[in-house]
Amino acid sequence: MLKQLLAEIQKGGTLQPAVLAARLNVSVGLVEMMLADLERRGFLSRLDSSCGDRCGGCSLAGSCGISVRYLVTTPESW
Amino acid sequence: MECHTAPIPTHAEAAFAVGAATIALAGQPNMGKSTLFNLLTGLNQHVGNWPGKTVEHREGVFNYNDRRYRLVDLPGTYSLTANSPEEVVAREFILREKPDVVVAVVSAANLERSLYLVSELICLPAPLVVALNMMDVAEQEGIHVSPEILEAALGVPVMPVTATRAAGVRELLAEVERCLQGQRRLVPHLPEIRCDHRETMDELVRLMGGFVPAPYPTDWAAMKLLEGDGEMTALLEKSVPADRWNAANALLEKHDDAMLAIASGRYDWIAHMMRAAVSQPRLGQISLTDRIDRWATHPFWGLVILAGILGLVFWLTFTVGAPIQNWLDTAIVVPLGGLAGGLLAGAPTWLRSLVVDAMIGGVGSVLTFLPIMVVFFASFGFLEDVGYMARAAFVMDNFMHLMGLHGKSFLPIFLGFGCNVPAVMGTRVIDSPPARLLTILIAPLVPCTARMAVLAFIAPAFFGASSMWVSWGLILLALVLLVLSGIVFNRLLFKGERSAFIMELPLYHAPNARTIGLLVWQRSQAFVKKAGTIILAMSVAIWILATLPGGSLQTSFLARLGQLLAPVGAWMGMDWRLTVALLTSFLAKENSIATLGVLFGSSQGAGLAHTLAATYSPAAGLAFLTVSILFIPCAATVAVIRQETGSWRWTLLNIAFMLVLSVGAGSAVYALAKAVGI
Repeated sequence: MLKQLLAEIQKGGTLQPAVLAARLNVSVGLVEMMLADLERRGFLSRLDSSCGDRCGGCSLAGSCGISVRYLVTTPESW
Repeated sequence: MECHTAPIPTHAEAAFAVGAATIALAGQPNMGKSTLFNLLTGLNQHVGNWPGKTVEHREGVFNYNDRRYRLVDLPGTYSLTANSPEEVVAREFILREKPDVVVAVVSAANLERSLYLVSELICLPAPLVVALNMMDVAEQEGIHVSPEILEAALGVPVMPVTATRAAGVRELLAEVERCLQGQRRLVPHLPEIRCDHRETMDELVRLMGGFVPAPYPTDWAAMKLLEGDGEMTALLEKSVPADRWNAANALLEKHDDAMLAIASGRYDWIAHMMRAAVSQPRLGQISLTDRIDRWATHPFWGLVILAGILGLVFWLTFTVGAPIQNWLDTAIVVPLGGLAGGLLAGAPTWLRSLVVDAMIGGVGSVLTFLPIMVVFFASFGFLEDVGYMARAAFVMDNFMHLMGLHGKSFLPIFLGFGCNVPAVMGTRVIDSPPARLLTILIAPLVPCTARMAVLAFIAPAFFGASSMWVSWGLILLALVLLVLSGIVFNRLLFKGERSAFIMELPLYHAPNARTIGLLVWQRSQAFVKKAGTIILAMSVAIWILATLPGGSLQTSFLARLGQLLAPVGAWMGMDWRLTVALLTSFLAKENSIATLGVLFGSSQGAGLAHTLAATYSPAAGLAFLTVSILFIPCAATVAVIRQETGSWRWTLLNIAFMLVLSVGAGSAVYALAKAVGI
């Protein structure tokens, strides 16, 4: 199952857990669990969309990031 | 996964006979394990630490059917692989202390998450009973779990309970008692390992055979070795003879994908259990999300919707925010400047100028920005609260993929639509150093929120009702430049390399006025605070440069600097004041407005927007906006570029690239605008 998920991710593109769940015929919850597992194992990495405390001089600091969690693949570990 | 079966140890029956049976409670955090523990032990419990660990140890006793039981609450864990001290404690207790029964507390409302731990517990040599907790929550959420089918699928007793109401607990204890008496002899159905790794597992068992220290079962230890369990690997390395260990290591290196295969086996097992025992009707909310997403995340219609929403945000800004901004400018800032000038009539000229031009003119101009920002904050807060912003990111990335621009290069760039700083930092996902460097170089091309806000302020002054189209066009121009750069870089550097981008899209839900209101309030407060500190300091600095050495603006240091750059500004129809305003946007984009406020003063009898429109032609205004959208990144972004590239040379090259590009585009736009008579 985990390998099937990885194979789907390796095809590339912009993906959603719901779409991956439909492709594997499992629940979204299980896909999210497997994504977390792959992230823990270093197959995926998470991207931070906030500027943190680096934009102290910007009057819009903290109001520009989109609260979305991104996972991107890290092919060197495949 | 070929772990051994779990026969009921005879010592369990013996322990039961003398009334000293030990029951271990295992489970993930937040599955109701502690509720069950407290319910059973009441005050007969004590809390300490596990020996040599900082992990909390809770143990107690309770009586059932006139027998006394020892109950041990194992730390909450997600698995039994040695990822954390809690996981080590839990598995060591089961293997070393050999509890007579392990009760796995799982949540019926979140069964799949609970089952991973069960897939590990079921492989251990201890009888297992599953307490299917939170049955009430599952029912409320429309999830139906059949304990009977789950029991048949798992091959271990499954008892439904609702620990918060003490429902089903007596039946659970009766089942535990039956297990202890040896009346329940089920055969656990274990996760399977793929046949291509079966042989590897058998070979490892053969190599380890007789050398695995007690109390670890050999096949379990071999499986943990295949899973890459650090603690078990270190232990076996010490206890297995070198020749056998080297052979095992060579085998592990050859089958380094076995770790995934074993985890895969567990997930297959979970999926099988879920299909067998759980029915989950699709919720209305999910269906609504699906229906909306058919359009909102569609490769074509999603883009149309995004463009429409962006247009609507600009329309709202120009329709609601700009008139209020204009009113604040003419009805508050200008009279305030006049009033302050009057009150300070007897004061030294420099003091009057400092208050009127720097403080009121500079900071006041930026503060009049607030209505525009409030509309921005409210619009984006609304879109984020209903769950749309994630879709906007999704369709944009999808579009980039369709253009042949793989997420690897464009994913970090997309982050730049909020702020360029995370965009530059996001390039860490790019493996190739040259590709990463070039992505950093083009990342500041993305029009960030601050640039869009400056656009929203200046555009209405020059273009009135057409502001929305002008703003749209300029953002489109920046995107076209991005796409062109991306295509070039993708062809040259990524050579069609595939990469994936997984986004977790939230469910749509009705907006919460309080949440959005709070967000607008907090962000507006932060904006005003910055205007009162950093922008004030910047305005005073600009004023000093615009006043010294002789007190005349035309002969000031700032004017001299501006006039040095005037020939370049002339290509874009801009005088030295607009050129200097652009330069000051380096510290923060909105500083350009503060600078214009200082340079044009608030005492000229008209608002800044009116003064600008009266002073410059629309062609010059358009050129100024074009350069603003593409100009060198702000100081925070430059600092991050320096940090990420580790090179001042590349940082300066980036500044030069953006400077050349923005001036080139500004000059071209100005020439084109003049040619068509704007």
